[in-house]
Amino acid sequence: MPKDLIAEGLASGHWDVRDAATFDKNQELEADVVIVGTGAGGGVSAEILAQAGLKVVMLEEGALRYASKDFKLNEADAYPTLYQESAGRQTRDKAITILQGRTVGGSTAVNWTSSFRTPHTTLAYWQRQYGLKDLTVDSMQPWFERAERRLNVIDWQTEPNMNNQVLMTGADRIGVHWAKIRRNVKGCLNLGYCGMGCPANAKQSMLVTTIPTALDKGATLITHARAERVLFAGDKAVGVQCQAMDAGGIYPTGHRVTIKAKTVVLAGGAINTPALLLRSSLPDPRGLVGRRTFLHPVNVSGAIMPFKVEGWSGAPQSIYSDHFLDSQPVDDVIGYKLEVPPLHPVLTASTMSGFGDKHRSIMARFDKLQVVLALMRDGFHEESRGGTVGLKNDGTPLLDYPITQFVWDGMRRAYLTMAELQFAAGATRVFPVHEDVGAEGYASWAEARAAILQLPMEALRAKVVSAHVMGGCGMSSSAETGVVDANGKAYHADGLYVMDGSVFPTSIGANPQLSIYGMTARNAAHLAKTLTGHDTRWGLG
Amino acid sequence: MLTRRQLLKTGVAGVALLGAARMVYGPITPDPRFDSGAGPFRVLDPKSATALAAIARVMLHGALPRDEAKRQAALQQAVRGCDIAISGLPGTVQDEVKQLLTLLNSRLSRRWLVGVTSPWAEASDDQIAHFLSRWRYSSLLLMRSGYQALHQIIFAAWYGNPTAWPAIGYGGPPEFMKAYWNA
Repeated sequence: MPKDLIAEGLASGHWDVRDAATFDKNQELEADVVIVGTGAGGGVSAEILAQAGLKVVMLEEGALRYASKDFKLNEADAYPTLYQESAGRQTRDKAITILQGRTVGGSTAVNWTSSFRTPHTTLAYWQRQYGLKDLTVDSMQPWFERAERRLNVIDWQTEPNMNNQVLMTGADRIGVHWAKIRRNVKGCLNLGYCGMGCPANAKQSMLVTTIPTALDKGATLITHARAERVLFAGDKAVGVQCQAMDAGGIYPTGHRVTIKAKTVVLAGGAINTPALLLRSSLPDPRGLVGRRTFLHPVNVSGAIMPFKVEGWSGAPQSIYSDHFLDSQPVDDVIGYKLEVPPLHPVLTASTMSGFGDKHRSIMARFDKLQVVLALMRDGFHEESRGGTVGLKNDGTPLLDYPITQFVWDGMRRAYLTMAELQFAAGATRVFPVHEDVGAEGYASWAEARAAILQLPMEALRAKVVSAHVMGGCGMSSSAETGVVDANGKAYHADGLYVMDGSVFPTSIGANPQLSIYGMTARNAAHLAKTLTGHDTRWGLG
Repeated sequence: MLTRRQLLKTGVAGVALLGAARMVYGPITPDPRFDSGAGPFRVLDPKSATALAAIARVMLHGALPRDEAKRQAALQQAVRGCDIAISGLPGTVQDEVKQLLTLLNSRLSRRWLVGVTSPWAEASDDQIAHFLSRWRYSSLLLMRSGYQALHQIIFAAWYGNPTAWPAIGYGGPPEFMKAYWNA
């Protein structure tokens, strides 16, 4: 019989896990370090700091859900319970829909396991533009190696599913280079349901790795706790105040949870961390908090293949192409990475355009549907400055991300690439996901090329999605251009650190989880050394 | 998402026009309502459910069963699915959806801003499809976002329901996982 380490940990009586939804009065706790968020940044920092002997409290807005009890592989259950805003978080003008986790483990509990180190070109750009001289390829390599060892990032040897094979075949036939994606899995059953929570605890998310260890080491986890503001005494952070949320995670119960701590680590992810700082009125003389938030905006191309694809089955992402990132300078016209998404009924049906018979004609061929994605590498050009996080009336975040002509131009080129590639792989029909593309799409590459050049590239005409949130509390060697320094320490407060994807000064140009693990490990180790005087053994095996 | 205030501000039709419409069309008698089946909704009021059912009938054309009784039952399930989906959204987003629904089902804005002259339960498929297309391709971003919101909610409700899966060749999650932790 398999063992679910979360169920066992809870049953052991040794874990201190508290659900704020059940609190009937205000609560106050003390700790050495309070960490807001339990995703890639929160999980890794919690483990490193708890192993250093520090008393850690982890705060999570979502619930503690886990494989043996909750992960039933049903989109209708998974999206409202495991994602921000039911997997429908949107930018201000609704033009971009964002997938972001909200559960213990954060986005690592629902991501598709793709593991890339931060590309050399991205690190080099940060060195040039943001003076981050210490973040070289050589100095970061040990941290990526340690993260890969700790989270079992491996070469994926299993045959790619058909959706990924089409990307591989099509790329070969149009002369575009591709490679295999490494994955953070152990005992993967190759099911294809990573986005609904791994039902076998094979994905080495924070939920089944760092968080259980931190709990074993005496950390406290409080779920359904939405961080409302960072508490300051003068210019020093001294804790975090939270709203207790109801069991559904939608409305505050009215009770407060206050954590007093000498050190505050923010790891709510891009969008949420800047919003928390905005609510906290962190001194921000340059107005940088929330600025330069990046999404890797994604456009999408569907194809009908003359064979079964069944894109719901098998590892969702196993093949990628960086051809259109590598074949030009990073600060030239916007480059894009090609990947494929898993295809499940709700995600597919809400992405595909049109209604009535047009929409149904696509869904009726769901088993032959193949989909390619292009992720725009945003943030490397003055015409790609990303978005700005602000606050709604109720204090929750709202990202304003205008899509510039510079970005639309990349998406048009990507529509062309994806259509050419899909036809080359044998597609009988290709339809860029855009409201102006007819029910039957295009029948040939020549037809597609002519039509795509004429498509109006506008918000809510072209479908644009995102699964990667980065930036908003950017790192820099200077307080003039950064919210935090290269160690993640806030420039304008003491005892305050940011350890999540919001510290990246641009997008990554690759799925960001391993970049967050590596950067956080480096900076949490530095913090542990500062607080305790000891070096971490994290990830050394 | 479209809010009524924003839409009125865009100047498609002014308040005076709405007032005039009321005089022209005379006193209000209740519109026919969609039979929502058993039990109350979580967030939808009966008028919103009626509007959503009519719009879903057109959005889901080709997906709904042809048999009339089955079709009605399927529509009821779809509207229940919409209700559940909306109830799971954060408060501010729920408010936006409710404003959109109010705009759709208040008879004056339905007639003058949405462009559907009959009550939702009596509106023809063509009339509703025309409204959806107009909003889908509108030059106003707010109208396009209103269309996209309806698209997302209705298709999520429909394809999130396992009864919709056999017809698209999807067998659902692998059966053996049901017993995995008890094996």
